[in-house]
Amino acid sequence: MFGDARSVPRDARLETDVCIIGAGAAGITLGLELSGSPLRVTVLESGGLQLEAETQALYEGDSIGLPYSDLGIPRLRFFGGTTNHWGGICRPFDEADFEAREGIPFTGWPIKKNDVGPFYERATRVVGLPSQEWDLGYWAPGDEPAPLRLRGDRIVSRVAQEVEPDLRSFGAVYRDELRLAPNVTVLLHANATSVETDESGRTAASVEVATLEGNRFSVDAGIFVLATGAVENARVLLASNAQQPSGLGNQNGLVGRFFLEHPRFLGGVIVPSTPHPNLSFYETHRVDGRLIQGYLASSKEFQLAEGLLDLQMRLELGYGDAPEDASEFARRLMTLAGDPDSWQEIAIPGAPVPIPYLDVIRDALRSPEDAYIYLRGQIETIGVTTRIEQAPNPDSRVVLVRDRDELGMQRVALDWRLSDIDRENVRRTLELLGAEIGAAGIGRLKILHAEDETDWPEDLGGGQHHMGTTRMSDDPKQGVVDTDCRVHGMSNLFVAGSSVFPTPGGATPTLMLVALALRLADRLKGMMLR
Amino acid sequence: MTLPQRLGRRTFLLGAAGLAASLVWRSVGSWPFLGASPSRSERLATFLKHEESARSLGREYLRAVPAEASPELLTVRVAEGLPGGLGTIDTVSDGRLRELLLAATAGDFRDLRTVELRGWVLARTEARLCALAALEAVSVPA
Repeated sequence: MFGDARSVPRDARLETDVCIIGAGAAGITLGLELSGSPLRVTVLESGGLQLEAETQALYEGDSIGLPYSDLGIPRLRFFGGTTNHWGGICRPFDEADFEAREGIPFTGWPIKKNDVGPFYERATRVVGLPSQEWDLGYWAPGDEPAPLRLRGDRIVSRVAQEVEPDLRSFGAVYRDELRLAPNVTVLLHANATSVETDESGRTAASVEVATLEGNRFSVDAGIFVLATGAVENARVLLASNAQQPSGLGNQNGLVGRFFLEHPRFLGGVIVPSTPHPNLSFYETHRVDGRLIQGYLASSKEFQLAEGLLDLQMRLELGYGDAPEDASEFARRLMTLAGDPDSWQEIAIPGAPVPIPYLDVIRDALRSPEDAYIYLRGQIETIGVTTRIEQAPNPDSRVVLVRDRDELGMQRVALDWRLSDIDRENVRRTLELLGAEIGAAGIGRLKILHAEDETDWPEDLGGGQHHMGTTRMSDDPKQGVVDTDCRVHGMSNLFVAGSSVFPTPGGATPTLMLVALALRLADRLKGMMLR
Repeated sequence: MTLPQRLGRRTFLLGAAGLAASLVWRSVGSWPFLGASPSRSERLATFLKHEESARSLGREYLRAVPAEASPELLTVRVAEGLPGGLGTIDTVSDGRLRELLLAATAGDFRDLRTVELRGWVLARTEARLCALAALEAVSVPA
């Protein structure tokens, strides 16, 4: 059933067995799994059923590290959470994703693939994927669309499945199911501002809840699960400092550290041997009605042998954009023509550029559209966007700042940092890609960023995959939660979501975090119903 | 992605096409030394199209590997990748030599004998051919 925190009596103390904070992918999965059980479950959701600007503003936060979008943009604060604008791309972690990488500190999980494997089958159903298949051979059985035929086994093609657009919002898909669950109450407009403990500081006793309209009350529970995303999970733990001044689970100063992303930028460009290569396998397409897309990646064997983390490469044909960009393209071309030095700076070595240069300018002046189409026909290149499995870095972190939101809660800032390990991963993998496509006769690769560059590319961005801020480890000095996702030092406080990922893997995080939420739900049922 | 970034990338792609052209192998029948008896290095140096691009990359290679700044040495090094070695250059047709150079290039890539010149990941053989082109341009004024 659904309720609204604005109508809960002020200063009330609600009681429940399990209190789930956050109704995104993890929180909704937990709620669904616990529905029908004898347990009373309360799900606290900050927003309503639709986006509300005032609530969304509670997510605002600055970036003080590498350039990153305002924290209010990638995350959505209403029922369904960030799945409300999820891209739906899924792939499970491979066994190697759980392994520590030699020479890269803080890598590896304290659990193995087979600890999560049984939950993946259920997770694919929860996220709405039609198939459990991930093998390339299954998805590319015929001639077209076909993966690139690389000769070696160091760069491989992989397949990701995509959830159908109308199934991506957990809020839309599971709203009715939760509404009908007799033992589950979803309280909308309920903002958790802190978790309070008993006097020992080792047992969570209640969650303090506030609404933007000024209502405040508490929820007492036997079990608490924080499921508000990697930035907000850290924020709530750090803000829960009544008993422990540094925040809950933060006795070793780890909460908020190790913020991870899947950084991406245009890393290289391939000039193909044939003018119009068919890359349709690497675009979203349907196989037997199911949505998939291919991508290139370094093989797991290569990664383990070389001590590298995962790296994905998305291929995109150059000049493939819509023709309405033609006038801008021509304007830029003419600017360059008037400034040969800058042209030389950004063109490849070996001027004169072997295109009919003056003709192009003349065409561009006469008809930008024609020039653009002409160039598309003459020159087709493949952009290689690299997407890195970021190396764990304790200096990459979410911190509380002085500024407070409308509820009086301290806001956060993101200090996102990458390391030389990430830079090295991109370079070595691209060098390998260059060799592989050369050997296969596909073309030549230009790596766009020099080996001695110290700055990250201007087009650096994240995949809006927030991970790592409450990382999992057996050792309380290395992580915030244990292998059951329980906060170290706390008896009844758990964390769900990708904030527990100690190493981000190459795959998108949603399928994995749903599998972990299912695993946690089983643990909680076993614990509470014993 | 913002507009300036997109435009910037397009520019890169446009520029990239220039190098692509430089690495297209000159087709059989383009032999420029009709009636003459070119040296081995002269012969090898003419197997790449878009000579100016090739020379530019070749100069870059010679800056990176100055110890190979000799047509004779570069010829020996390239010939090491050909079945039959140096003698092959004297005895096979243009078409056959082109095939052998392509095979040597593919072998370099396969075995990771690559060099990176201004970002381009090139086979050692083709980089040396570019270097030969650069040296030949110096020794034979246009």
